[in-house]
Amino acid sequence: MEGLPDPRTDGELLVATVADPHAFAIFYRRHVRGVLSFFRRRVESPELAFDLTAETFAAALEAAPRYEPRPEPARGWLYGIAWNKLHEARQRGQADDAVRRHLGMAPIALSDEGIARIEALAGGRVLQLLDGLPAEQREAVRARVLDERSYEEIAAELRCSPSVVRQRVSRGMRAIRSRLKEAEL
Amino acid sequence: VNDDPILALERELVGAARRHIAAQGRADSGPRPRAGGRRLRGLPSPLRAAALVALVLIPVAAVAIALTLPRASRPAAAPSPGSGPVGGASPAVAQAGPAPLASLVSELAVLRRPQTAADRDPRALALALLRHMPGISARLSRIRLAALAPWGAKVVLAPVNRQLLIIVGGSVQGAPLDSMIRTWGGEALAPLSGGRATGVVLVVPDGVTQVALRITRGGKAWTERAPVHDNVATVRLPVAANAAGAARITWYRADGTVVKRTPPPPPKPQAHPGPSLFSELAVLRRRQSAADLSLTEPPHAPRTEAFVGMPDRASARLAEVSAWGARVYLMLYWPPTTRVTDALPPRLRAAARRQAPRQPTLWILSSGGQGQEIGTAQTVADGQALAMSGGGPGNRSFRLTMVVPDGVTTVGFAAPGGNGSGFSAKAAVRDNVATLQVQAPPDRPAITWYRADGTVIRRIPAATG
Repeated sequence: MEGLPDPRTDGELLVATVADPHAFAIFYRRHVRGVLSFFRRRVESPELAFDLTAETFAAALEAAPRYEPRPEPARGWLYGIAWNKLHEARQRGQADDAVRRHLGMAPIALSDEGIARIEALAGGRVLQLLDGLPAEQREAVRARVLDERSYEEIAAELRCSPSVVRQRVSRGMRAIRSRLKEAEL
Repeated sequence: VNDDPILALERELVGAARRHIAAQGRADSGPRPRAGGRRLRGLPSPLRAAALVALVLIPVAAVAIALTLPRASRPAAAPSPGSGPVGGASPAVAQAGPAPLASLVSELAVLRRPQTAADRDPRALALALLRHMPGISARLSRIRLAALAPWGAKVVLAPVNRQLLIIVGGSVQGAPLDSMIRTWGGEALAPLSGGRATGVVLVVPDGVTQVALRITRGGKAWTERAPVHDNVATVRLPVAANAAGAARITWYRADGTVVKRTPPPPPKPQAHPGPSLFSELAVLRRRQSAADLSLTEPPHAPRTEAFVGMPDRASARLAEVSAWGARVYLMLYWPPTTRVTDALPPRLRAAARRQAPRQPTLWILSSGGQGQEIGTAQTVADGQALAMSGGGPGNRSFRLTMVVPDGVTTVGFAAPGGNGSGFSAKAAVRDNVATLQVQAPPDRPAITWYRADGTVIRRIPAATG
């Protein structure tokens, strides 16, 4: 994660994976947060979200030699795999680990700190707290913090001034921080 | 137990990738295939199979990455009747064991001609690359600059141990002599233009003067031809390496007769089942915004979920403000879980199991939560994801909403008909949705999908009756 970002596209990294394991590591770092969040929003536990994330990247690694670059970004390809893994997990009632076993990957046991890290990365606990905010604050925090949109853009959509949006975001974040602290006590 | 599972997972993935590459390396140095790499087929792992269908890849430090492809693993075709020295090489000879260098030299005139100053120049490059490989003894006198590829790379041939290395630009690829020359020649592939094109280098025996590559991609097939000089043909293909590697190759003699032709490749194993809504629709892949969450969730009774599936609020997307001013949302519904179905009274369970979707389905919803199921990923891909509704009491207009896959930018609707019911109109696509309002209830109209440049992607005929 150090140094300059790798200039290669996702597709180029997947193609390079055939000979360079580091290329897949870069691809993984780019997308692990997004994939983890994708699962965390859709499953009940951080453990299951992590399991599905691991299986998704393992499947992507396994399929990399067959990856064919297309005009659309490789992100869609990765999320297509994630989608299928989620679908399978819902049908089976549990995450599969067939690809990881096949690749000889060791199971990763999670400590409490590890689960907290997953939650922090996927925003699971924060998302729960976010849902508990009043609607105005929730929308403002989502748009600003999760979607990284400008205050002006959000203000135009919500038909209020940017300073009102700032105030809602500030109040919402303060409430989330305070509830997180309460939970830690 | 890991405090940082994200990092631990990265280590495991990198380790798995390393093992895969090492396995590939072992395959390089292991016993020779009895016939053209045939032993590589039938391996259980898709990963290993995908790796081993490639020719031998020799990764070299500080050189660019190169891909190798499955020519060596192709089943050998029967020699053509009346073929020359190449076509006449019988499978029995190929199975007898590794061919000595002398045999290779006897089949490649480029290795027999005197070494020139131009050949000696790339020798330095070859040596620099080979230095990284232990146990290698290169035949320096046999190194040849065989071609300058159309994409600017020098093609150098270097017999090394029992391999002929093909050095293309900064990458090295090679194959055992026996499988290479006596079956399908040598081949090296270089990804170009970010992987969207591929430089193909083919090494062919004496007597072959032209090669033809039959490429198939996306239902389109065409042939590229290239002349042979110094036993090497080079061609730049506008396709990715996978498609280039799957091309059918024909070797021709000077009189136009065929020396050899590769059989059709076996069908590739499917990486993942069918299209998914996620891969078909960019609108579902973009980040969810506050506007997307303005959807009022449809008022489903718990029992309803057992019949229509379970709404996935995280997938809700505001796709379009329709031609009639209403917000159009898309949302996915998952097939009901066993727990949901089992919660029904016994008399309803069988009916729910019959009716419930078995795949994720896509719904079109309005701001108020009213909606209708539009189908599965296959429905979208097939051009059948069309909703039609009336304009409401006292309103004679009819409303069409179509969900289209990525790449479609305009949808043309056309309905022939008398009594004022015929129409023809185009609607722009926004976030995979196109809407149109017409003034009479049509039958399902004929539909045409257009790309951004105006070309037609697909025509879907009108439904009749």
